[in-house]
Amino acid sequence: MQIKLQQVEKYFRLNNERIKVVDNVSFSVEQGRCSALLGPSGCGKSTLLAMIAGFFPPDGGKIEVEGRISLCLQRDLLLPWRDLLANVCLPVEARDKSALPAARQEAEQYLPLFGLEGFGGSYPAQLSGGMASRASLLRALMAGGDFWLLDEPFAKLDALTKEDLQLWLRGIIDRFHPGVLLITHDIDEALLLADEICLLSPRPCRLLARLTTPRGRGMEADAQELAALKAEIRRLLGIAA
Amino acid sequence: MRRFKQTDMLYPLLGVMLFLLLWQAAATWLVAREWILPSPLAVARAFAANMPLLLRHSLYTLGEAAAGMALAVLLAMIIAWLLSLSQAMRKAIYPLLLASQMVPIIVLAPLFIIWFGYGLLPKILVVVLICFFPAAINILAGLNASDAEMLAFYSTLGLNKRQLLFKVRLPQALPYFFSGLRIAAVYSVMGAVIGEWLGAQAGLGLLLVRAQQSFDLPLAFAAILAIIIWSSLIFLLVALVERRALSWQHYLNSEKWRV
Repeated sequence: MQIKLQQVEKYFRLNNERIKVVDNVSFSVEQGRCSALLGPSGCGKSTLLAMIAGFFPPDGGKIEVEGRISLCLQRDLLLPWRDLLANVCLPVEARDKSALPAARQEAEQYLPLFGLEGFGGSYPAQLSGGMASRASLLRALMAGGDFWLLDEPFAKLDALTKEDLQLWLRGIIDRFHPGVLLITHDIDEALLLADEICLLSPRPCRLLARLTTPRGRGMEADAQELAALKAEIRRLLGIAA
Repeated sequence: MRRFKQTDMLYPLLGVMLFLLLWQAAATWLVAREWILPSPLAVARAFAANMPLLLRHSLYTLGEAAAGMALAVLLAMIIAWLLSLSQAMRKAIYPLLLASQMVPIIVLAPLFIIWFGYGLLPKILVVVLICFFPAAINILAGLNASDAEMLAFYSTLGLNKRQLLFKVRLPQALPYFFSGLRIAAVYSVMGAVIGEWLGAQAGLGLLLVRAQQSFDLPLAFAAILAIIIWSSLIFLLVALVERRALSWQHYLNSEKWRV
């Protein structure tokens, strides 16, 4: 199973002008691997993700998705009238209502792992930002996708919470090893979580490079190597070191 | 639920008391003629003395208001659904809707009587005409409250069109629906009274006309009091149902505690 993009192009219309937002992007995400799409804000990363999720088709090229997709967007999109368990089990409920009781039990068992113990009956408005993000990921897990598409899931959180959650997410990925496509503009986040980094240019979004991280080679990262890789990424993105 | 505080009742009561005192003083010393301005006490006496009469006429008015409101909400739902289908549909229907609210009811009601006679139907139609618009506009706003990203997201999670409607769009529209319903509730009894005013065999509107024509102002004011009481009760009923149906909403307003 894999997600495969071949020469994908996308245009948007702005004030009667056709603007190229995605230019000839090809890459693939393998099952059980974590690929990061790393690029500056507004480069078209989210547009790529939206096309992979099937929100709208590309104008050129091909997107093949084998297997099912679980989504996790910048907004948690939890439904305010459902409690946490009802929210995370909604994908199961939609697919097969008879599987709901079992799913609720399963989700309840995952609550501690997601830092949500005792909050199964809480409503989204009662959760903190970090908890809502984790709930959103639990929903992605419960949706049972072979691939998790994560669009800057921690974008709205403060730096401290974010760092904790990145480490936590790494643990979650190691435990459930789904295929992951992580969208981020945070170099450290990409280095921490991804096996492979697809570096994207500012608009129109082009593939600058595909880099394998130490994590992707199954090695423990040493600080020197990470620093070198980070410098390389900054150079490719055209950011002064 | 929000705790009910004693001051919640205190200030409205004080306001009403003050108003009644001023009114009583004005009626007693300033005007001093009951057939021009009856005092609150005179109105209360008339209300108590004519209770059976008021109740009998109220039944007609309330029946018209209830039937009109039910029809109005049904019509509002259908119209809101049609409008939410497509831009073209919205553009085609919206001017007609607006126009329906611009024609003075006082002009339309007599026409209803010419077309449909002196029975209940023309009164119910007046209520429908007054009530459906705020309900329809609010329901439409509610149906549009689910943004495109949200719907795309949930359809990717596996919800089909029907499930999107029942599990996402309709629950999201419910608070808007109740806002519309509350406005409709306030106007429903008034609508029925306007309908009766222009020709009826029974109802508070007819009672009002008769009382005024015989200069029995205390009775006229008693009828007005009855209209206010019934309108308030219907409003309260809607608010009560709303509170039960939207119990999750108070978490949005209550103080959040963050971990």
